[in-house]
Amino acid sequence: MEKDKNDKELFMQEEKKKEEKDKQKETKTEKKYIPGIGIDVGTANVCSCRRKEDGTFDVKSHRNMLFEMELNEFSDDLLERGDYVYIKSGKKCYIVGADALSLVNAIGKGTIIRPMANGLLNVELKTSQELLNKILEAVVGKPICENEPLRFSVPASNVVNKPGVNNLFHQMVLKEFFNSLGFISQPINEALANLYNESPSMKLDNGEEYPLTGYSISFGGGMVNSAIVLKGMSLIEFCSTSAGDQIDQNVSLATGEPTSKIIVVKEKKLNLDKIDQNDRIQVGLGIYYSEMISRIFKQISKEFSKDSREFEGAVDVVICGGTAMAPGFINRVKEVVKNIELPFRVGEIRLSSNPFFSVSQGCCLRGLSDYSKMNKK
Amino acid sequence: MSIIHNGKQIEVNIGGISQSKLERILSEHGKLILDGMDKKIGDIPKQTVVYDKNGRETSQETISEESLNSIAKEMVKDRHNTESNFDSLGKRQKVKMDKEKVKKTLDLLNDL
Repeated sequence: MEKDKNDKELFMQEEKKKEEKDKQKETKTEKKYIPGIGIDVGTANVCSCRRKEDGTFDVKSHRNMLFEMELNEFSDDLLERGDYVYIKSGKKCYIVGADALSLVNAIGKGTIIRPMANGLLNVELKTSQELLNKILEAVVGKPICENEPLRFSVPASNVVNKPGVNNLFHQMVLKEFFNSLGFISQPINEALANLYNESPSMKLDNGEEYPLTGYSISFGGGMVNSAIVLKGMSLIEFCSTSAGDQIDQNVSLATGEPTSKIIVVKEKKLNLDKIDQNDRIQVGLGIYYSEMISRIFKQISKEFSKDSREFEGAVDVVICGGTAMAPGFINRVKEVVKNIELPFRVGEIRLSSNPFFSVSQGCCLRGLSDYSKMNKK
Repeated sequence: MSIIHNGKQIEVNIGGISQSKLERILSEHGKLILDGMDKKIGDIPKQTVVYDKNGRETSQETISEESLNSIAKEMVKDRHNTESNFDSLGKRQKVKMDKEKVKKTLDLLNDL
């Protein structure tokens, strides 16, 4: 009996020591970061970015997708046996992240849902805000200093194919949420964030150089966001809701295959330079990719011409986003640009150095700058 | 003027309008607002059509930024209604960037 008691006490002491060690470790890790965090709140993925004192960046990504199940014996069993990440809300259970996609493909039925749709909160899903909050909290973590600046990405308010829709409410909810975690948060346009990360410049014929100037496009899952930027200031911002997810749905309708299968082909097999003509899904994806790229460049041409603007030098195009990561994507863009008349000269067209994390990195740079300004005051 | 729907106060600007016309407005346009409140998210209209005493249509702001902000505050509380088996999410990766380029960009951003 006495031995049991001693063992128990020893065990408790060891556990306590372990906990303290973990805590110290955590504090040490936190100290390595410079305050100022960036969050890319995308329809398809949520990414966070922090800079370390050694100058490198730490990025985190989470697939913003869910598989909804009724809470019953079957789901209880599944949750108990598998190591799925889940959220329970009311009488429903949601498998979270990449697990959702693998589960749907394993079961062979059901559909993937997202807490966000077309770049904004998903109005079809009543609990979307609760779920998104939970996911964001787990990706972002806690502030590392009092009033730590946080920059989060938002789409442009000008949604060209949905007049009357704007991002105001979406932006307010996110700002309120991040502030409730202890951050001082501010929104930043998604395409502008990509441009900050890539920092293109416009060179004039007289040798003068305009830094942070160019055309930035973020091809995401729910939206395509565009910004024409001059010396770090956005001149034109617009977005379109017909993006990666829409391509999946269009190809699904055309081929009769579920979207979960289309996503797998898109991510694992698709090469836009070498479309397998015997694969109907790849052929469909190729057609809709070209349509999307062409539509965006026609729109920028229209928006740019509205105010009779003129750029003296050639404008570099910097592209990012998960949808732009398909091999051969940049060649498609170059092909479209060759055959379209644009109101400005195009310089280099390039994929961002880190297309998947470029928006979160750009947000982080703006967050770091906010922190530096905060300290100067 | 303000109306109460599902315990939420909604501000509606309807200067000098009769009860019957108020009902007409709510049945035709207010529904959009109420639906938005019910869903707690979505395309909440910032404008609605209201009628003056002569039955003419006039357009006025109905939901102010402050009202939207108070709804946003309410929504933030909702995360406590859920239960999950995780504290942290996301796959971590280390990214190296050109230090000189980052410094140049930060200098430019500090001047904005």
